[in-house]
Amino acid sequence: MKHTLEADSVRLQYNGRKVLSDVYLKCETGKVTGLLGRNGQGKSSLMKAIFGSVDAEKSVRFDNRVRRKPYEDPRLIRYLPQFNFIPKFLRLRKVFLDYDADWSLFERTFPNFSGRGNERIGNLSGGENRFVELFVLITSTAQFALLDEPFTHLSPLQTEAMKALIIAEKVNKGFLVTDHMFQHVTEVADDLYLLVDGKTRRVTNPEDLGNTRLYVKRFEQ
Amino acid sequence: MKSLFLRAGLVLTFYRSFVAASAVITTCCAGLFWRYGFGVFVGLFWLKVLSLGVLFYFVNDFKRAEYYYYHNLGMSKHILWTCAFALDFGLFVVALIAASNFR
Repeated sequence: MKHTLEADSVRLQYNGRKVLSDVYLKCETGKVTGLLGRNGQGKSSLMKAIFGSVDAEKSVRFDNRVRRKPYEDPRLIRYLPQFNFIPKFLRLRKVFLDYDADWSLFERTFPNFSGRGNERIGNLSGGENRFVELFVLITSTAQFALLDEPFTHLSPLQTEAMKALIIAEKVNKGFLVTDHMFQHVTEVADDLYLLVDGKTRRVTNPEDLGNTRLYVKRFEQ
Repeated sequence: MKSLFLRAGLVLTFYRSFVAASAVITTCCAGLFWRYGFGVFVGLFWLKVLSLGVLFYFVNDFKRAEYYYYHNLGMSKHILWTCAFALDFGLFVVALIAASNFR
């Protein structure tokens, strides 16, 4: 069954400065939606507003049903913030248990983590930490996953592995992805939105990028 | 039921982020209560409340990023703090009762 997530009329301001003024965005299960925009345009704020961790004027609908704080139902949505969020004192196995993620599959797929289930998150390198965070969120059972800067801190090999995982997992869920490395976003995205001056617009051809000077390789051909 | 256990486990995980500092305060309070008895109860009560306020301020600031671990599992800040404070205050009361029994 296909599920939809729509964020509509999102308005957000910090200290009187309008960050988001007129946003419409639609995600569907089975698709990866990419969100492009220059630094400071409010991409992270938009994700947090959709997730419900930041108070904003908005209408966020899951299958046409409005939710004020979507995160309170973990079957609906998960959010990867752009910073590390797993408490450092937790052990890998505990994280996988909490998130109902498959540790043995993870060990088999990524042998460099084999036998490290009792290791604390704080002992992992920055890239490994990010890799674990991404894996548990991407493979989680929620309908939608919002990924904010998922490829930051990852090595090129890890980035490719995660892109493949996102594409494989989109059968089960919908993704909203933003990253300052637009190349990776556009490679995995089925739909693209551009956030500029607090407003979103669909990107279907290079002209839609306007004068934002974002380089999007998918339009090269 | 699984969800309830998971939530209780998450509250305990969250509580771990400030349990050491809180345990020191509780132990000191229990020691003073054992030494001076009910005469100092009101003072100890407010000391505990004040220390929890200070802990809230620092944890809320320094562990801000970790809230997303719990949000992703359906736990709001409000639920986390309410349950953790209730648990901590329960342990404080138990410590004072134990101290009074040992007098």
